[in-house]
Amino acid sequence: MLRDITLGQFFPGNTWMHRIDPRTKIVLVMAMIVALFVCSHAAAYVVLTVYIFGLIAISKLSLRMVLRGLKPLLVIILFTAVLNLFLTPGDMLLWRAGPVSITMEGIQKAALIVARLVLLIAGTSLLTYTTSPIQLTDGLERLLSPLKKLHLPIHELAMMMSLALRFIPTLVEETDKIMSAQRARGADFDSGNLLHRAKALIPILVPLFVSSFRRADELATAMECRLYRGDIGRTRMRQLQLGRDDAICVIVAILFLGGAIVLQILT
Amino acid sequence: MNGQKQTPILEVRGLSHVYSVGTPFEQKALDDVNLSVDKGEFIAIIGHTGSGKSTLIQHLNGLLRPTTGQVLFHGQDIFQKTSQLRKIRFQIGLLFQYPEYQLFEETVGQDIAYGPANMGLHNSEITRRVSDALDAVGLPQSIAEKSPFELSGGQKRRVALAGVLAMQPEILVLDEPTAGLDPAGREEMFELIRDLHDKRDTTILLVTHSMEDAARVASRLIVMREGQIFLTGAPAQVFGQAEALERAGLTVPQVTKILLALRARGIPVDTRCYTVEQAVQKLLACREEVLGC
Ligand SMILES: Nc1ncnc2c1ncn2[C@@H]1O[C@H](COP(=O)(O)OP(=O)(O)O)[C@@H](O)[C@H]1O
Ligand SMILES: [Mg+2]
Repeated sequence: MLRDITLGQFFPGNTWMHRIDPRTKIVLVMAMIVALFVCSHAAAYVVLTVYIFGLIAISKLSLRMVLRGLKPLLVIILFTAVLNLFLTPGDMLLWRAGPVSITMEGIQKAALIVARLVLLIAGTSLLTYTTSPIQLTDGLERLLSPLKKLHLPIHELAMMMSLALRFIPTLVEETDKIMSAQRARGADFDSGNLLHRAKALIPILVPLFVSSFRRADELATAMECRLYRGDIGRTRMRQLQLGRDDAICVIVAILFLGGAIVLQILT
Repeated sequence: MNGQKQTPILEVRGLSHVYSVGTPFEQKALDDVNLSVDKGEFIAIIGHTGSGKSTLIQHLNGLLRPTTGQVLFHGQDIFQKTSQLRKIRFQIGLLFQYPEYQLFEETVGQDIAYGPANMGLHNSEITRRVSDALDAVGLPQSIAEKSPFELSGGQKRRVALAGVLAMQPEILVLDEPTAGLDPAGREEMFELIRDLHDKRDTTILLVTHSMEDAARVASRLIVMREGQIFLTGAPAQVFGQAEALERAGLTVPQVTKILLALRARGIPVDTRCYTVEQAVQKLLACREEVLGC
């Protein structure tokens, strides 16, 4: 079912990781991405793997859930791994057949790519799984707020983003419902040629568009009724506040991410 | 007890359904539901929001797959051959809640024709069925040329119903068909559904959360609670158990409540009734008994 898509979904909870300030988490995820791309040595990767999967354990996310998020990207991961495995030139030749060959360098490179992508996805999903969309956009808005001085519409962008995120589940639910309703009238979405299948989508897309426009209209009215007028003079219900836990989080990150980078440079 | 019992037209055996299995959002929506529907019955399924009514009826035409259990149509498991599922959907017509949102065609006529066209019928047959369905829901033939988006809410809902009726299903399953309609619209919708049952001999399963509505039209009630069938039987039987219902957070119809209250104050009225007409009879009978006139 459509509903079972998990990549980028929030799982409500009340763990230590859930309570960390979203700004801290966003910054640390970026630091993690940098570290993943700077490092390439096995030792450094061991440190990074311990770090990321340790955090997943602390957040009480089931490993199955996190790995399920990898599924949509599995093909890409395997594809790049295979390309690297067979097409990397190198000195330590292990096997060759015509233009393709397997070298020691190829194996190393393929392993690195797989590890890098898996850790990248696991690490970023750690952010989206433990941070509600509202917190996420709040955090982004605050982080980017210096750009407001340059007259960039940061608040408006953040508002649009949180509205879009807010309505994704609604839209998915609605799509599910409309699909079921048309199936009950004999719609068939899974057979026939491409043109046939594209045509079969019309009975879903038209009602979906109609209701999206209606909903957008109602939402705009509701916001105006409550005197929304953009960023000017707007206060917040949830004040973001950095605390002791954020400091601990940053120190742990510096130890691990810094450690990995140091290892990378030394070896 | 003697005589051959015919196979029920539709049967549900040990049906359970769990949503989002294996995620933190796992939720058991149905728990070992058994029921059987005979030809020509008019059944009302009642229950609080979230009691699993919509989940149950989406199994009846195979839109949802049971986690465990079976759905039998004329004694045949509907999931046995997946290729046959579509055919079964033409015979078990299902009208969703707020069905007006499923309209998509340029004209009302084309929208009603969507089901019959999916059945692969001839054009002449489709045209006949569209006009027949419009008649059945009490809309004028001229409306067929209009866009569904310019109709009123009540009209849209009838068009959606016509879209299901045009498939001429053996069983009609309706999910809260009167939700969100004004009182007059509700009345009309009920008349319509009753006519479908009485005049066209359609077997009907009606989902509702209104006890009054259920009592008025159905010959059998199924009361659901937390994914299970809590009570079932003729309206008199079910509403006779007012206390059990109230414990389940459900209520009996308003008139029954009034009679129960009268009885509690020592007036010996028979409380086994659930429509205003019946209540009048019972009260008159009671007066006769007490006053002797
Ligand atoms: N698509 C779905 N995904 C997950 N849970 C659902 C879904 N649909 C319904 N539920 C849950 O299943 C339970 C039964 O819902 P439903 O069958 O819609 O009840 P009703 O129609 O009686 O109001 C509810 O707790 C609801 O939250
Ligand atoms: Mg429902």
